[in-house]
Amino acid sequence: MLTYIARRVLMMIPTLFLISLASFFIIQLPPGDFLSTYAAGMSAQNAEVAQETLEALEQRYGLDQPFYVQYWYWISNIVCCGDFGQSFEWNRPVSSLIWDRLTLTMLLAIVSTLFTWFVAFLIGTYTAVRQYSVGDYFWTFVGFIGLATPNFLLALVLMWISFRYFGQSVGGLFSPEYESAPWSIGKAVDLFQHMWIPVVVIATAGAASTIRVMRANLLDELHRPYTTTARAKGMQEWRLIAKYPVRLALNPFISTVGWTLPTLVSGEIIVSVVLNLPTTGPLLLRSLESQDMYLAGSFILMLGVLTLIGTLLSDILLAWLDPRIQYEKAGSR
Amino acid sequence: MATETVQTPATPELAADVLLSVRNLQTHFPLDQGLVKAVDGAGFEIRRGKTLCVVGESGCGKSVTARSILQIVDRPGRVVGGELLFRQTPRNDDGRPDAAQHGQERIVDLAKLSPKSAAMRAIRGRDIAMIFQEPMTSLSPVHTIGNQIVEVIHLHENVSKKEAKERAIEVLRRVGVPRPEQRFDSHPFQLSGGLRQRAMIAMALVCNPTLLIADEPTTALDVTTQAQILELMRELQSDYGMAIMFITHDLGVVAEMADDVAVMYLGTVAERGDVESVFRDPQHPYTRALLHSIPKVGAAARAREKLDTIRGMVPDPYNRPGGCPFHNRCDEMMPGVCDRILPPPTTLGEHREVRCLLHDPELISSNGGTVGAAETEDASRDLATEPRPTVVPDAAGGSTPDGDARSTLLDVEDLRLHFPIRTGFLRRTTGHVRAVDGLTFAISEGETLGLVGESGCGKTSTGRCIVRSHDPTGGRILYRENGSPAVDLAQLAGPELKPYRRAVRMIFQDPHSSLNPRMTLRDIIGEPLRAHGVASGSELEDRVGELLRDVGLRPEYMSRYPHAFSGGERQRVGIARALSLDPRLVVADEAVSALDVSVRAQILNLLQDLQAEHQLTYLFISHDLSVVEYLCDRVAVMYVGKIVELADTATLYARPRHPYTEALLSAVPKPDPRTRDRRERIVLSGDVADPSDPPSGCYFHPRCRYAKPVCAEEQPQLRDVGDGTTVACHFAEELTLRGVADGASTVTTTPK
Ligand SMILES: Nc1ncnc2c1ncn2[C@@H]1O[C@H](COP(=O)(O)OP(=O)(O)OP(=O)(O)O)[C@@H](O)[C@H]1O
Ligand code: SF4
Ligand code: SF4
Ligand SMILES: [Mg+2]
Repeated sequence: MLTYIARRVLMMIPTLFLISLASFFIIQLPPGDFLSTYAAGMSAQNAEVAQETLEALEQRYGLDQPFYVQYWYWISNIVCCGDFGQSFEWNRPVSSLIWDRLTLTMLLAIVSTLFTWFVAFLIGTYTAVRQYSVGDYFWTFVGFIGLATPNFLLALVLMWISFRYFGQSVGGLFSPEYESAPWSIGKAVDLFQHMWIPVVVIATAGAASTIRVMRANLLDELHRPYTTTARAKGMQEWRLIAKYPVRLALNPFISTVGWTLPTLVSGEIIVSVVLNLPTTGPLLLRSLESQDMYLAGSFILMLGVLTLIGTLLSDILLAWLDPRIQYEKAGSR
Repeated sequence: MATETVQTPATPELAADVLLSVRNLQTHFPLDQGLVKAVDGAGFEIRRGKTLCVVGESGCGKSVTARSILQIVDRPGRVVGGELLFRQTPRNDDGRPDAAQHGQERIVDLAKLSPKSAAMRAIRGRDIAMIFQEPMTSLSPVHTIGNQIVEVIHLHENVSKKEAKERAIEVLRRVGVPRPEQRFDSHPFQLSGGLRQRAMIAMALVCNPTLLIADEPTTALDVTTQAQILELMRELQSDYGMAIMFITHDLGVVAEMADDVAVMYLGTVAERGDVESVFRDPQHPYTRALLHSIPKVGAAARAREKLDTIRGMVPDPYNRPGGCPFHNRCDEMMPGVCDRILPPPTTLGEHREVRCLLHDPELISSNGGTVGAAETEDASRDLATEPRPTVVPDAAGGSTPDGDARSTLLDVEDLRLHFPIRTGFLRRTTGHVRAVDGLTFAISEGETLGLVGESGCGKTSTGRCIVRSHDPTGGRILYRENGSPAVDLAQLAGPELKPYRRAVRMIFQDPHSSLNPRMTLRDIIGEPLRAHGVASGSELEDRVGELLRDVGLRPEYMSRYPHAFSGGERQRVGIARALSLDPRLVVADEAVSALDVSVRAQILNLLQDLQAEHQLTYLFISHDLSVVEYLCDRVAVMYVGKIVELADTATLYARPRHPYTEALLSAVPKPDPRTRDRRERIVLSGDVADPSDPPSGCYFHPRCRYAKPVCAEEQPQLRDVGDGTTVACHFAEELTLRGVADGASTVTTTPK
């Protein structure tokens, strides 16, 4: 198992390198070097930039050097000091901007995923075990409605409901009074009161397809001979289904953890814009619009890294849950 | 665990020695396409502590019958009628069989219990346990063996975790799993097929059932492993005193195992009785036909008689014939009678029953006793004496070649195929699996060479090297056509190989997976023709039609898809595809292993006809020694990538020279119940040696019962010991090994 994990971690390194290269390439995309853009922007706001500052920045980013040297400056600063460079639009270090948002994005992603799974398992299992029953058709119908409803519409509807019936401030993840307050129990409660809307919105779209996948997986597994074996032992039907087929139908899910993350992030952008959430989506969109390239590049880099980590975690989880995988990959054959 | 049972005082008559009586069982599947009556009036009895074997072709309802007993038929199937009277042994409070209450068994009608009821669940796994054909898929791949065994104990008995574990380990040891403490934590895929089946048996036995239902428990195993498992089941039966219902389609296994036999056809029991009389004096035409269609080891195979087959095939479940279900395939069908009247069960003696109108007392008396009597007499004459047609006349050189009388077509010299094993962090090559390790043999033109051995000994790899779907890592494959100079196929690649790909073709084992389901027969069979630019358009169509006719299918089938065909028909399609390019050499890899006895007989006959017609040479790979004896001129026995013995078929079977050959022959079940107690079986212990780390000296020495110290040190070389036999054993000359001819069979072999 340890060798397996170690090999998987090592295999991540080249991918990480490629992701960072791609992110940096994006940073470099806009014509001209950003320092002049920066200086122009500042002077447009009548704020003269001192020549020394410009020179210091030029040194710092190695702007007079070739691409790979610039890349080296950039990545080594990130790796050693967590310095992602400067956001020119906000005039703040990128690192001070992204961490909060990344944390919230991850939180939202994890909670939505867990919620999606919870719903999908229950309904998927039910519809598979009762294939072609009224319940099966009902949930299939509901699932398709969920799939067909645009996210932003659902978001707006839920916002209205929450405003009308719960009297909550809508939009955002925090009430104004907690917006910039330090973390406290009250703030956490507030967060969860706000989070259910985006979670439900994101999960509805995800759950509909996840239910179909779960149902199909389980239908396959329900007819495997080991189910009959378990029945022949005298097990109760529901216990047997939970222990054997459901357990095996889980595997394909776990392997999708890695790539649900990017889809969640991208699917979340619209929702976040509508709901005005302080997550990465809207900021990434803004930074791309305003060519705030250090910010955009950092986001892309971090999202890539997180996706990789997610994939790694799901692989490890899968290897732990399904001993066959370890056995094959450990090369004992 | 609730153990309330439904008392059925209405039907108490269950003979004292009967454990389970199945009466007029009906299990139906209401499907969209129609009602499938999978079991339709089956009836039989299982005696206490005895073995009942259930035989019949595929799709005759054997498995559904077994599942009906436990009420675990797949949805939407359901037991809709009949009785399943079971004598339930009383258990004491913690679930063990209660010795004190012996003789006070309750009689339960399982058919009256609801499939989900607690009473039914209490019986499953405890009073009646079941084991299945494929231990790999019948055990959960992600739970340990131990977990799956302990679960049964906890379901039925009140024991502590620790005690349950101890019990599980003890049963594992009892069924011959080595190091059971460690195996307890193994996953099924970490065990070999034989060990897996043992674990499955352990799981079934752990609550001391009085009836064990085994649905083809050895079909997926090698002969040698099968022999081990059969031996084990016999031992366990006397230990545990349980009855066994053993489902199989192998009549050899029936003869080895059964006390009683039930022959099933289309959901009914055509004939049943004690094994001795059913084999000696079969009364139902179906039983007779089944018994005729098996090639018998050591029995008259050299005469190359055509095998008897049963006409047609099992009808599909939606179009079951009226009247006698067998009438459209029966040679003794009485028109106007058999197609109208459903034969009632007729009792012929103790435990003996047959469902055929030839035996119907009313019919016999209404015809003045003539019809039945005459037909029966006729039938037994046919069974005993009628000579069967000979396919290949000896004059044509059909049997043993005299060496130089025929030219050599293929010369394999020192063939090797090693697969690298990569392990560890950096995936370095740390060793090799020597799948084929220095193989030398020759095949003459027009000959059939058999290649036998346990699974994992390299048979398939050898076949694949010869058709070059694997690249051999060493050695030469010299191919000579019509006296032209030899070409080394092992050296060729890409386009150079193309002409030889036409000349050397392969037939695969599994007719289900080897045909693309999205292609019509025209495309499947025509594809090689098109790829080699041999034919196209209407010419191609003609050729495909011709090929279909050659393999006994109708040309009109051309535009159908493979799923519309039965296993046997699909195998015919596979053969037609192999023949489409007029090959010289056909490598048949387990070509008949997946088929029913009767269909297998048809395909074997077909292979022989085609050989004569197209002057084909066969390399016939099989683990089934009776088929090999029937079809092959010479046989090569492989063990761990090497040939250990190569001889003429008759010589090899009558007088094996290598201990491994002897053990293989001894493991084949003989379809003759009279010999089973007289035979001394050699049960090979353990598994085939690991080809990546073979033992020192003679690879066979850890399993050889004649091994001497020298065997562990020196590797024996293949050498000629006369009689056209080459052997790799240090003691080939000294040892007197047993073949299959001596006293075992009804007809003695006639060695050339
Ligand atoms: N789950 C199912 N749904 C519908 N029909 C079924 C099902 N299982 C079995 N049948 C039908 O019941 C009949 C008997 O099948 P069964 O599996 O008992 O045959 P068998 O004698 O065990 O054959 P084999 O030797 O191939 O195991 C077949 O016609 C089959 O098509
Ligand atoms: S009843 Fe007729 S068709 Fe059926 S087996 Fe007997 S003779 Fe053959
Ligand atoms: S060489 Fe020795 S171990 Fe090998 S088969 Fe012969 S007797 Fe047995
Ligand atoms: Mg079956």
